[in-house]
Amino acid sequence: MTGRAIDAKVGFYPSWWNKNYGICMGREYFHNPAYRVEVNLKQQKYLYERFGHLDMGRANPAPEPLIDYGMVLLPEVFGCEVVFEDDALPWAMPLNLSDQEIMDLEVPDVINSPPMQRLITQMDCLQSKYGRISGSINPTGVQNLALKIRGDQLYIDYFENPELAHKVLSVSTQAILQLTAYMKKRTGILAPGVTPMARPEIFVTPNCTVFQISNETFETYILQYENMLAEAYPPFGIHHCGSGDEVSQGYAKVKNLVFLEVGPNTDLVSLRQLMPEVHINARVDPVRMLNCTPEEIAGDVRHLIDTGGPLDKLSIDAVGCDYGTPDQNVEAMLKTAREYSMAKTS
Amino acid sequence: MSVLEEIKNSIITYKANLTKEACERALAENIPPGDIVNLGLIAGLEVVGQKFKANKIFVPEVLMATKAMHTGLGVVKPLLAQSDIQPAGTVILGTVKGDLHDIGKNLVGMMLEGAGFKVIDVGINTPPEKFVEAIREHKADLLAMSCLITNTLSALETAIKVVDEAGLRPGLKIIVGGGAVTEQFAAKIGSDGYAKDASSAVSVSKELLGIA
Repeated sequence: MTGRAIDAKVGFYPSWWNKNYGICMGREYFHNPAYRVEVNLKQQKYLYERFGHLDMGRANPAPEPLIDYGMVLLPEVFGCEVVFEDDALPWAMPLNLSDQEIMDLEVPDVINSPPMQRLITQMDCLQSKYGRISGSINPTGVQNLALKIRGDQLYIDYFENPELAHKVLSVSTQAILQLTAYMKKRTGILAPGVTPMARPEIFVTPNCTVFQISNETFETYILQYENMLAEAYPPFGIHHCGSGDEVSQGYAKVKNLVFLEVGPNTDLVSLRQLMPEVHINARVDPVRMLNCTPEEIAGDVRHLIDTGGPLDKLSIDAVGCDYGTPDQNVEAMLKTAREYSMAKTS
Repeated sequence: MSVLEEIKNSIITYKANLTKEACERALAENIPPGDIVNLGLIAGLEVVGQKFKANKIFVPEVLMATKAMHTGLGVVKPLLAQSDIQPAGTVILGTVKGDLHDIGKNLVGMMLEGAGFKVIDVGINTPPEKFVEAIREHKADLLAMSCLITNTLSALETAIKVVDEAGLRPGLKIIVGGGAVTEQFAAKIGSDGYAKDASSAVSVSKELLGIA
Protein backbone atom coordinates (compact mmCIF):
# COMPACT_ATOMS: atom_id res chain seq x y z
CA MET A 1 0.00 0.00 0.00
CA THR A 2 1.39 3.39 -0.99
CA GLY A 3 1.42 6.10 1.62
CA ARG A 4 0.22 9.66 1.20
CA ALA A 5 2.58 12.57 1.77
CA ILE A 6 1.22 15.53 3.70
CA ASP A 7 1.31 18.98 2.18
CA ALA A 8 4.55 20.73 3.15
CA LYS A 9 5.98 24.03 1.98
CA VAL A 10 8.87 26.35 2.69
CA GLY A 11 8.66 30.11 2.09
CA PHE A 12 11.31 32.79 2.27
CA TYR A 13 11.39 36.24 3.82
CA PRO A 14 12.08 39.22 1.49
CA SER A 15 15.62 39.57 2.85
CA TRP A 16 16.39 36.02 1.63
CA TRP A 17 15.39 37.09 -1.89
CA ASN A 18 17.16 40.41 -1.61
CA LYS A 19 20.47 39.13 -0.34
CA ASN A 20 20.58 35.97 -2.46
CA TYR A 21 19.24 37.33 -5.75
CA GLY A 22 18.99 41.11 -5.48
CA ILE A 23 15.21 40.97 -5.68
CA CYS A 24 13.59 44.05 -4.15
CA MET A 25 10.19 43.69 -2.53
CA GLY A 26 9.71 47.29 -1.48
CA ARG A 27 7.16 49.87 -2.52
CA GLU A 28 7.31 49.01 -6.23
CA TYR A 29 6.54 45.36 -5.57
CA PHE A 30 3.26 46.29 -3.91
CA HIS A 31 2.32 49.23 -6.14
CA ASN A 32 3.32 48.02 -9.59
CA PRO A 33 1.58 44.81 -10.70
CA ALA A 34 3.79 44.38 -13.78
CA TYR A 35 6.90 44.51 -11.60
CA ARG A 36 5.34 42.01 -9.17
CA VAL A 37 4.52 39.57 -11.98
CA GLU A 38 8.09 39.90 -13.22
CA VAL A 39 9.49 39.30 -9.72
CA ASN A 40 7.31 36.24 -9.31
CA LEU A 41 8.60 34.80 -12.59
CA LYS A 42 12.19 35.30 -11.43
CA GLN A 43 11.41 33.77 -8.04
CA GLN A 44 9.94 30.66 -9.62
CA LYS A 45 13.00 30.22 -11.82
CA TYR A 46 15.45 30.76 -8.95
CA LEU A 47 13.53 28.36 -6.76
CA TYR A 48 13.58 25.75 -9.49
CA GLU A 49 17.33 26.15 -10.01
CA ARG A 50 18.01 25.84 -6.31
CA PHE A 51 15.32 23.54 -5.04
CA GLY A 52 13.77 22.00 -8.17
CA HIS A 53 14.65 18.55 -6.83
CA LEU A 54 12.27 19.34 -3.95
CA ASP A 55 9.45 20.31 -6.32
CA MET A 56 9.92 24.00 -5.64
CA GLY A 57 9.60 26.58 -8.41
CA ARG A 58 9.11 25.98 -12.10
CA ALA A 59 11.59 25.70 -14.99
CA ASN A 60 9.38 27.67 -17.36
CA PRO A 61 6.86 29.50 -15.22
CA ALA A 62 3.85 31.24 -16.68
CA PRO A 63 3.13 34.79 -15.49
CA GLU A 64 1.06 34.78 -12.31
CA PRO A 65 -1.38 37.71 -12.02
CA LEU A 66 -0.71 38.14 -8.35
CA ILE A 67 -2.39 40.66 -6.07
CA ASP A 68 -0.59 41.29 -2.80
CA TYR A 69 -0.42 44.13 -0.31
CA GLY A 70 1.22 42.59 2.72
CA MET A 71 -0.87 43.14 5.84
CA VAL A 72 -1.12 46.88 5.49
CA LEU A 73 -4.15 47.72 3.37
CA LEU A 74 -6.68 48.25 6.15
CA PRO A 75 -4.22 50.06 8.45
CA GLU A 76 -3.49 52.40 5.53
CA VAL A 77 -7.21 52.93 4.97
CA PHE A 78 -7.43 54.10 8.58
CA GLY A 79 -4.51 56.48 8.04
CA CYS A 80 -1.46 54.55 9.24
CA GLU A 81 1.84 55.41 7.61
CA VAL A 82 3.22 52.38 5.78
CA VAL A 83 6.96 51.73 5.71
CA PHE A 84 8.21 49.77 2.70
CA GLU A 85 11.67 48.19 2.63
CA ASP A 86 13.30 46.24 -0.19
CA ASP A 87 14.20 43.39 2.14
CA ALA A 88 11.30 43.27 4.60
CA LEU A 89 7.54 43.00 4.66
CA PRO A 90 5.72 46.33 4.70
CA TRP A 91 4.89 47.61 8.15
CA ALA A 92 2.10 49.96 9.26
CA MET A 93 3.00 52.39 12.02
CA PRO A 94 0.33 52.55 14.77
CA LEU A 95 -1.93 55.59 14.86
CA ASN A 96 -2.22 55.61 18.66
CA LEU A 97 -5.57 57.39 18.55
CA SER A 98 -6.79 59.08 21.73
CA ASP A 99 -9.90 58.10 23.73
CA GLN A 100 -11.92 60.82 22.05
CA GLU A 101 -10.64 59.97 18.58
CA ILE A 102 -11.67 56.34 19.12
CA MET A 103 -15.14 57.33 20.33
CA ASP A 104 -15.49 59.55 17.23
CA LEU A 105 -14.12 56.87 14.92
CA GLU A 106 -16.43 55.79 12.12
CA VAL A 107 -16.30 52.75 9.89
CA PRO A 108 -14.51 53.91 6.75
CA ASP A 109 -15.77 53.28 3.25
CA VAL A 110 -13.03 50.75 2.56
CA ILE A 111 -13.84 50.08 -1.08
CA ASN A 112 -13.82 53.75 -2.09
CA SER A 113 -10.77 54.65 -0.03
CA PRO A 114 -7.66 55.70 -2.03
CA PRO A 115 -5.53 52.69 -0.96
CA MET A 116 -8.25 50.21 -1.96
CA GLN A 117 -8.99 52.07 -5.17
CA ARG A 118 -5.32 51.77 -6.10
CA LEU A 119 -5.50 48.02 -5.52
CA ILE A 120 -8.71 47.76 -7.51
CA THR A 121 -6.92 49.50 -10.39
CA GLN A 122 -4.15 46.92 -10.05
CA MET A 123 -6.71 44.11 -10.12
CA ASP A 124 -8.40 45.61 -13.19
CA CYS A 125 -5.04 45.78 -14.91
CA LEU A 126 -4.17 42.16 -14.11
CA GLN A 127 -7.63 40.96 -15.03
CA SER A 128 -7.59 42.66 -18.41
CA LYS A 129 -4.11 41.35 -19.24
CA TYR A 130 -4.36 37.80 -17.90
CA GLY A 131 -8.08 37.18 -17.63
CA ARG A 132 -7.81 36.28 -13.96
CA ILE A 133 -6.30 37.33 -10.63
CA SER A 134 -4.44 35.18 -8.13
CA GLY A 135 -3.38 35.94 -4.58
CA SER A 136 -5.53 37.91 -2.16
CA ILE A 137 -5.46 40.86 0.19
CA ASN A 138 -4.61 40.13 3.79
CA PRO A 139 -7.50 41.34 6.00
CA THR A 140 -5.13 42.19 8.91
CA GLY A 141 -7.21 40.55 11.65
CA VAL A 142 -9.47 42.07 14.29
CA GLN A 143 -7.02 42.64 17.14
CA ASN A 144 -4.07 43.33 14.79
CA LEU A 145 -6.02 46.12 13.13
CA ALA A 146 -7.37 47.48 16.42
CA LEU A 147 -3.78 47.68 17.73
CA LYS A 148 -2.72 49.61 14.65
CA ILE A 149 -5.51 52.10 15.30
CA ARG A 150 -5.35 52.38 19.08
CA GLY A 151 -1.78 51.28 19.81
CA ASP A 152 -0.78 49.30 22.92
CA GLN A 153 -3.36 51.31 24.85
CA LEU A 154 -5.90 48.78 23.57
CA TYR A 155 -4.51 46.33 26.13
CA ILE A 156 -5.10 48.84 28.92
CA ASP A 157 -8.59 49.47 27.53
CA TYR A 158 -9.36 45.77 28.02
CA PHE A 159 -9.15 46.45 31.76
CA GLU A 160 -10.12 50.08 32.12
CA ASN A 161 -12.38 50.97 29.25
CA PRO A 162 -14.24 48.01 27.77
CA GLU A 163 -16.61 50.27 25.85
CA LEU A 164 -13.73 51.90 24.03
CA ALA A 165 -12.08 48.53 23.35
CA HIS A 166 -15.30 47.21 21.84
CA LYS A 167 -15.67 50.35 19.76
CA VAL A 168 -12.31 49.94 18.06
CA LEU A 169 -12.70 46.16 17.69
CA SER A 170 -16.16 46.63 16.19
CA VAL A 171 -15.00 49.28 13.70
CA SER A 172 -12.07 47.04 12.74
CA THR A 173 -14.42 44.10 12.18
CA GLN A 174 -16.75 46.13 9.98
CA ALA A 175 -13.82 47.26 7.86
CA ILE A 176 -12.62 43.66 7.48
CA LEU A 177 -16.11 42.58 6.45
CA GLN A 178 -16.22 45.23 3.71
CA LEU A 179 -12.88 44.11 2.28
CA THR A 180 -13.86 40.46 2.46
CA ALA A 181 -17.20 41.06 0.76
CA TYR A 182 -15.40 42.75 -2.12
CA MET A 183 -12.77 40.05 -2.53
CA LYS A 184 -15.28 37.24 -2.16
CA LYS A 185 -17.37 38.70 -4.97
CA ARG A 186 -14.46 39.71 -7.16
CA THR A 187 -12.21 36.63 -7.02
CA GLY A 188 -13.55 34.24 -4.40
CA ILE A 189 -9.94 33.88 -3.26
CA LEU A 190 -9.37 34.80 0.39
CA ALA A 191 -6.61 32.72 1.96
CA PRO A 192 -3.33 33.17 0.02
CA GLY A 193 -2.64 36.68 1.32
CA VAL A 194 -2.45 35.17 4.81
CA THR A 195 -1.15 31.65 4.24
CA PRO A 196 -0.34 29.41 1.30
CA MET A 197 -1.44 26.36 3.27
CA ALA A 198 -5.22 26.85 3.36
CA ARG A 199 -7.59 26.18 0.51
CA PRO A 200 -7.87 29.51 -1.38
CA GLU A 201 -11.60 29.94 -0.73
CA ILE A 202 -11.24 29.75 3.07
CA PHE A 203 -11.54 33.12 4.82
CA VAL A 204 -8.43 33.05 7.00
CA THR A 205 -7.96 35.76 9.60
CA PRO A 206 -4.46 36.55 10.85
CA ASN A 207 -4.19 36.52 14.63
CA CYS A 208 -0.53 37.52 14.88
CA THR A 209 -0.97 39.37 18.18
CA VAL A 210 -3.39 37.00 19.92
CA PHE A 211 -0.51 35.10 21.56
CA GLN A 212 -0.01 38.25 23.65
CA ILE A 213 -3.37 37.85 25.44
CA SER A 214 -4.98 35.28 27.69
CA ASN A 215 -7.77 32.96 26.65
CA GLU A 216 -10.08 34.87 28.97
CA THR A 217 -9.30 38.13 27.18
CA PHE A 218 -9.71 36.42 23.83
CA GLU A 219 -13.12 35.07 24.75
CA THR A 220 -14.22 38.34 26.37
CA TYR A 221 -13.13 40.64 23.59
CA ILE A 222 -12.13 38.98 20.34
CA LEU A 223 -14.23 35.84 19.99
CA GLN A 224 -17.52 37.62 19.26
CA TYR A 225 -15.95 39.60 16.42
CA GLU A 226 -14.23 36.57 14.94
CA ASN A 227 -17.57 34.78 15.00
CA MET A 228 -19.09 37.69 13.08
CA LEU A 229 -16.44 37.16 10.41
CA ALA A 230 -16.84 33.38 10.51
CA GLU A 231 -20.61 33.53 10.16
CA ALA A 232 -20.50 36.08 7.36
CA TYR A 233 -18.06 34.23 5.12
CA PRO A 234 -17.65 30.54 5.97
CA PRO A 235 -15.61 28.39 5.80
CA PHE A 236 -13.34 30.14 8.28
CA GLY A 237 -9.70 29.78 9.21
CA ILE A 238 -7.25 31.29 11.69
CA HIS A 239 -3.55 32.02 11.38
CA HIS A 240 -2.01 32.18 14.85
CA CYS A 241 1.59 33.22 15.51
CA GLY A 242 3.46 31.47 18.29
CA SER A 243 2.14 28.71 20.47
CA GLY A 244 -1.61 28.26 20.22
CA ASP A 245 -1.89 26.53 23.58
CA GLU A 246 -3.23 29.41 25.64
CA VAL A 247 -6.14 30.33 23.37
CA SER A 248 -7.01 26.90 22.03
CA GLN A 249 -10.13 26.73 24.22
CA GLY A 250 -11.30 29.99 22.70
CA TYR A 251 -10.47 28.92 19.18
CA ALA A 252 -12.56 25.80 19.68
CA LYS A 253 -15.56 28.14 20.06
CA VAL A 254 -15.03 29.90 16.73
CA LYS A 255 -17.85 28.99 14.36
CA ASN A 256 -17.32 27.37 10.97
CA LEU A 257 -13.63 26.85 11.73
CA VAL A 258 -12.07 24.44 9.24
CA PHE A 259 -8.44 25.57 9.24
CA LEU A 260 -6.07 26.53 12.04
CA GLU A 261 -2.44 27.49 11.52
CA VAL A 262 -0.32 27.48 14.66
CA GLY A 263 3.23 28.46 15.44
CA PRO A 264 6.09 26.55 17.03
CA ASN A 265 5.78 24.91 20.44
CA THR A 266 2.07 24.30 20.16
CA ASP A 267 0.80 21.16 21.86
CA LEU A 268 -0.79 19.56 18.81
CA VAL A 269 -2.15 16.59 20.76
CA SER A 270 -4.28 18.84 22.98
CA LEU A 271 -5.28 20.98 20.02
CA ARG A 272 -6.40 17.92 18.10
CA GLN A 273 -8.47 16.70 21.04
CA LEU A 274 -10.29 20.02 21.11
CA MET A 275 -10.70 20.27 17.35
CA PRO A 276 -10.74 16.78 15.82
CA GLU A 277 -12.14 17.88 12.46
CA VAL A 278 -10.14 21.07 11.87
CA HIS A 279 -7.25 21.02 9.44
CA ILE A 280 -4.13 22.02 11.34
CA ASN A 281 -1.14 23.61 9.66
CA ALA A 282 1.82 23.41 12.01
CA ARG A 283 4.69 25.78 11.47
CA VAL A 284 8.38 25.08 11.88
CA ASP A 285 10.18 27.91 13.64
CA PRO A 286 12.10 30.10 11.13
CA VAL A 287 14.63 30.87 13.88
CA ARG A 288 15.34 27.15 14.20
CA MET A 289 15.44 26.85 10.40
CA LEU A 290 18.19 29.46 10.51
CA ASN A 291 20.18 28.10 13.43
CA CYS A 292 19.65 24.35 13.74
CA THR A 293 21.17 21.36 12.00
CA PRO A 294 19.26 19.39 9.35
CA GLU A 295 18.93 16.55 11.86
CA GLU A 296 17.29 18.87 14.38
CA ILE A 297 14.89 20.20 11.75
CA ALA A 298 14.01 16.66 10.72
CA GLY A 299 13.34 15.91 14.39
CA ASP A 300 11.03 18.93 14.67
CA VAL A 301 9.08 17.79 11.63
CA ARG A 302 8.77 14.21 12.83
CA HIS A 303 7.48 15.48 16.16
CA LEU A 304 4.79 17.56 14.41
CA ILE A 305 3.74 14.58 12.34
CA ASP A 306 3.71 12.26 15.34
CA THR A 307 1.54 14.62 17.37
CA GLY A 308 -0.63 16.46 14.82
CA GLY A 309 -2.46 13.63 13.11
CA PRO A 310 -4.65 12.33 11.60
CA LEU A 311 -2.38 13.08 8.70
CA ASP A 312 -5.17 13.83 6.25
CA LYS A 313 -5.90 16.85 8.42
CA LEU A 314 -2.32 18.02 8.93
CA SER A 315 0.11 20.06 6.87
CA ILE A 316 3.45 21.63 7.78
CA ASP A 317 5.24 24.70 6.57
CA ALA A 318 8.22 26.85 7.36
CA VAL A 319 7.64 30.40 6.21
CA GLY A 320 9.69 33.50 6.75
CA CYS A 321 12.97 31.64 6.29
CA ASP A 322 15.70 34.23 6.25
CA TYR A 323 18.99 34.80 4.50
CA GLY A 324 21.48 32.37 5.95
CA THR A 325 18.99 29.53 6.35
CA PRO A 326 20.99 26.50 5.20
CA ASP A 327 19.66 24.87 2.04
CA GLN A 328 20.14 21.56 3.81
CA ASN A 329 17.52 22.63 6.36
CA VAL A 330 15.03 23.39 3.60
CA GLU A 331 15.72 19.94 2.20
CA ALA A 332 15.48 18.29 5.61
CA MET A 333 12.16 19.99 6.31
CA LEU A 334 10.49 19.06 3.03
CA LYS A 335 11.95 15.58 2.62
CA THR A 336 11.18 14.57 6.18
CA ALA A 337 7.63 15.89 5.95
CA ARG A 338 6.98 13.98 2.77
CA GLU A 339 8.86 10.77 3.45
CA TYR A 340 7.96 10.39 7.11
CA SER A 341 4.27 11.04 6.52
CA MET A 342 4.25 8.61 3.60
CA ALA A 343 5.89 5.98 5.73
CA LYS A 344 3.35 6.50 8.49
CA THR A 345 0.39 6.14 6.14
CA SER A 346 1.59 3.14 4.14
CA MET B 1 -1.67 43.38 56.02
CA SER B 2 1.12 45.98 56.20
CA VAL B 3 0.97 48.98 53.92
CA LEU B 4 3.98 47.66 52.00
CA GLU B 5 2.13 44.39 51.47
CA GLU B 6 -0.84 46.42 50.24
CA ILE B 7 1.37 48.22 47.73
CA LYS B 8 2.81 44.95 46.54
CA ASN B 9 -0.65 43.46 46.27
CA SER B 10 -2.01 46.43 44.34
CA ILE B 11 0.68 45.88 41.69
CA ILE B 12 -0.10 42.17 41.48
CA THR B 13 -3.81 42.93 41.08
CA TYR B 14 -3.23 45.87 38.67
CA LYS B 15 -5.04 48.42 40.86
CA ALA B 16 -3.27 51.72 40.17
CA ASN B 17 -5.64 53.73 42.36
CA LEU B 18 -4.88 51.45 45.33
CA THR B 19 -1.15 51.72 44.61
CA LYS B 20 -1.35 55.50 44.74
CA GLU B 21 -3.42 55.53 47.90
CA ALA B 22 -1.20 52.99 49.68
CA CYS B 23 2.01 54.80 48.67
CA GLU B 24 0.61 58.06 50.05
CA ARG B 25 -0.32 56.29 53.26
CA ALA B 26 3.13 54.69 53.52
CA LEU B 27 4.77 58.10 53.21
CA ALA B 28 2.42 59.46 55.86
CA GLU B 29 3.56 56.60 58.11
CA ASN B 30 7.16 57.77 57.56
CA ILE B 31 8.21 54.60 55.77
CA PRO B 32 11.44 55.42 53.89
CA PRO B 33 10.81 55.99 50.15
CA GLY B 34 13.48 53.40 49.31
CA ASP B 35 11.53 50.75 51.25
CA ILE B 36 8.30 51.71 49.52
CA VAL B 37 9.99 51.20 46.17
CA ASN B 38 11.95 48.06 47.00
CA LEU B 39 9.62 46.21 49.37
CA GLY B 40 6.35 47.38 47.84
CA LEU B 41 6.51 48.38 44.19
CA ILE B 42 9.46 46.31 42.98
CA ALA B 43 8.40 43.31 45.07
CA GLY B 44 5.00 43.43 43.36
CA LEU B 45 6.47 43.76 39.91
CA GLU B 46 8.79 40.82 40.56
CA VAL B 47 5.76 38.62 41.17
CA VAL B 48 4.21 39.94 37.96
CA GLY B 49 7.42 39.18 36.07
CA GLN B 50 7.47 35.62 37.37
CA LYS B 51 3.85 35.06 36.38
CA PHE B 52 4.52 36.48 32.90
CA LYS B 53 7.51 34.22 32.48
CA ALA B 54 5.39 31.22 33.45
CA ASN B 55 2.62 32.19 30.97
CA LYS B 56 0.21 32.72 33.85
CA ILE B 57 -0.44 36.28 32.73
CA PHE B 58 0.02 38.05 29.42
CA VAL B 59 0.96 41.40 27.91
CA PRO B 60 -2.18 43.37 28.91
CA GLU B 61 -1.78 42.30 32.55
CA VAL B 62 1.90 43.31 32.57
CA LEU B 63 1.01 46.69 31.08
CA MET B 64 -1.58 47.19 33.81
CA ALA B 65 0.90 46.21 36.52
CA THR B 66 3.56 48.56 35.19
CA LYS B 67 0.98 51.31 34.98
CA ALA B 68 0.21 50.78 38.68
CA MET B 69 3.95 50.75 39.35
CA HIS B 70 4.43 54.09 37.62
CA THR B 71 1.51 55.58 39.52
CA GLY B 72 3.22 54.58 42.75
CA LEU B 73 6.59 55.86 41.57
CA GLY B 74 4.92 59.18 40.77
CA VAL B 75 4.00 59.52 44.44
CA VAL B 76 7.40 58.49 45.79
CA LYS B 77 9.75 59.99 43.19
CA PRO B 78 10.03 63.54 44.60
CA LEU B 79 11.10 62.10 47.95
CA LEU B 80 13.43 59.59 46.36
CA ALA B 81 15.35 62.50 44.81
CA GLN B 82 15.63 64.13 48.22
CA SER B 83 16.82 60.93 49.86
CA ASP B 84 19.62 60.65 47.27
CA ILE B 85 18.74 57.13 46.19
CA GLN B 86 20.59 56.32 42.98
CA PRO B 87 19.08 54.31 40.13
CA ALA B 88 20.21 50.71 39.82
CA GLY B 89 21.89 51.72 36.57
CA THR B 90 21.30 53.65 33.36
CA VAL B 91 20.04 51.63 30.41
CA ILE B 92 19.89 52.63 26.76
CA LEU B 93 17.05 50.68 25.19
CA GLY B 94 15.96 50.28 21.58
CA THR B 95 15.14 47.97 18.71
CA VAL B 96 17.83 47.74 16.06
CA LYS B 97 17.79 49.31 12.64
CA GLY B 98 15.13 47.76 10.45
CA ASP B 99 12.99 46.54 13.35
CA LEU B 100 9.76 48.47 13.82
CA HIS B 101 8.18 46.32 16.54
CA ASP B 102 7.92 48.09 19.83
CA ILE B 103 5.73 46.29 22.33
CA GLY B 104 8.42 43.88 23.52
CA LYS B 105 10.90 46.72 23.90
CA ASN B 106 8.32 48.77 25.78
CA LEU B 107 7.67 45.90 28.17
CA VAL B 108 11.39 45.52 28.85
CA GLY B 109 11.64 49.26 29.49
CA MET B 110 8.75 49.26 31.92
CA MET B 111 10.04 46.22 33.79
CA LEU B 112 13.54 47.70 34.05
CA GLU B 113 12.15 51.02 35.29
CA GLY B 114 10.06 49.11 37.74
CA ALA B 115 13.20 47.41 39.00
CA GLY B 116 14.85 50.75 39.68
CA PHE B 117 16.81 51.35 36.48
CA LYS B 118 16.89 54.67 34.68
CA VAL B 119 15.77 53.80 31.15
CA ILE B 120 16.53 55.92 28.11
CA ASP B 121 14.32 54.59 25.35
CA VAL B 122 15.79 55.54 21.97
CA GLY B 123 12.88 53.91 20.16
CA ILE B 124 12.49 51.57 17.22
CA ASN B 125 14.53 51.25 14.02
CA THR B 126 17.60 52.65 15.76
CA PRO B 127 20.83 53.14 13.80
CA PRO B 128 23.99 52.07 15.66
CA GLU B 129 25.24 55.65 15.75
CA LYS B 130 22.18 56.67 17.73
CA PHE B 131 22.94 53.99 20.34
CA VAL B 132 26.52 55.27 20.54
CA GLU B 133 25.36 58.85 20.97
CA ALA B 134 22.91 57.91 23.72
CA ILE B 135 25.49 55.78 25.58
CA ARG B 136 27.90 58.73 25.61
CA GLU B 137 25.30 61.33 26.51
CA HIS B 138 23.79 59.40 29.39
CA LYS B 139 26.95 57.61 30.56
CA ALA B 140 25.06 54.36 30.31
CA ASP B 141 25.88 51.21 32.24
CA LEU B 142 23.87 48.92 30.02
CA LEU B 143 22.78 48.76 26.39
CA ALA B 144 19.64 46.68 25.79
CA MET B 145 18.72 45.93 22.19
CA SER B 146 16.11 43.72 20.64
CA CYS B 147 14.95 42.40 17.30
CA LEU B 148 11.84 40.37 16.66
CA ILE B 149 12.47 39.06 13.18
CA THR B 150 15.47 37.24 11.82
CA ASN B 151 16.27 39.69 9.03
CA THR B 152 17.42 42.26 11.58
CA LEU B 153 19.80 39.91 13.40
CA SER B 154 22.69 41.27 11.38
CA ALA B 155 21.77 44.78 12.54
CA LEU B 156 22.21 43.58 16.11
CA GLU B 157 25.69 42.34 15.31
CA THR B 158 26.52 45.60 13.51
CA ALA B 159 25.33 47.70 16.44
CA ILE B 160 27.62 45.82 18.84
CA LYS B 161 30.56 46.25 16.45
CA VAL B 162 29.94 49.98 16.15
CA VAL B 163 29.71 50.34 19.93
CA ASP B 164 32.98 48.39 20.28
CA GLU B 165 34.70 50.51 17.63
CA ALA B 166 33.57 53.67 19.40
CA GLY B 167 35.58 52.48 22.39
CA LEU B 168 32.53 52.39 24.65
CA ARG B 169 32.70 48.79 25.74
CA PRO B 170 34.75 49.18 28.88
CA GLY B 171 32.27 49.86 31.66
CA LEU B 172 29.30 49.02 29.45
CA LYS B 173 27.37 45.77 29.42
CA ILE B 174 25.24 44.73 26.47
CA ILE B 175 22.12 42.62 26.68
CA VAL B 176 20.10 41.43 23.68
CA GLY B 177 16.77 39.70 23.20
CA GLY B 178 13.65 39.46 21.09
CA GLY B 179 11.88 36.71 19.17
CA ALA B 180 14.65 36.14 16.64
CA VAL B 181 17.53 36.02 19.12
CA THR B 182 18.90 32.87 20.70
CA GLU B 183 21.36 32.55 23.54
CA GLN B 184 23.93 31.08 21.17
CA PHE B 185 23.56 33.97 18.74
CA ALA B 186 23.84 36.48 21.57
CA ALA B 187 27.14 34.92 22.66
CA LYS B 188 28.40 34.70 19.08
CA ILE B 189 27.98 38.42 18.39
CA GLY B 190 29.68 39.43 21.62
CA SER B 191 26.76 40.33 23.81
CA ASP B 192 27.31 40.05 27.56
CA GLY B 193 23.84 38.75 28.24
CA TYR B 194 20.71 37.32 26.65
CA ALA B 195 17.15 37.75 27.84
CA LYS B 196 14.37 35.50 26.59
CA ASP B 197 11.63 37.83 27.81
CA ALA B 198 10.99 41.09 29.67
CA SER B 199 11.16 39.44 33.05
CA SER B 200 14.51 37.80 32.30
CA ALA B 201 15.80 41.15 31.06
CA VAL B 202 15.54 42.45 34.62
CA SER B 203 17.32 39.53 36.27
CA VAL B 204 20.05 39.36 33.61
CA SER B 205 20.62 43.13 33.79
CA LYS B 206 20.95 42.97 37.56
CA GLU B 207 23.36 40.07 37.28
CA LEU B 208 25.49 41.85 34.69
CA LEU B 209 25.74 44.96 36.83
CA GLY B 210 26.40 42.98 39.98
CA ILE B 211 23.19 44.01 41.70
CA ALA B 212 21.80 41.57 44.20
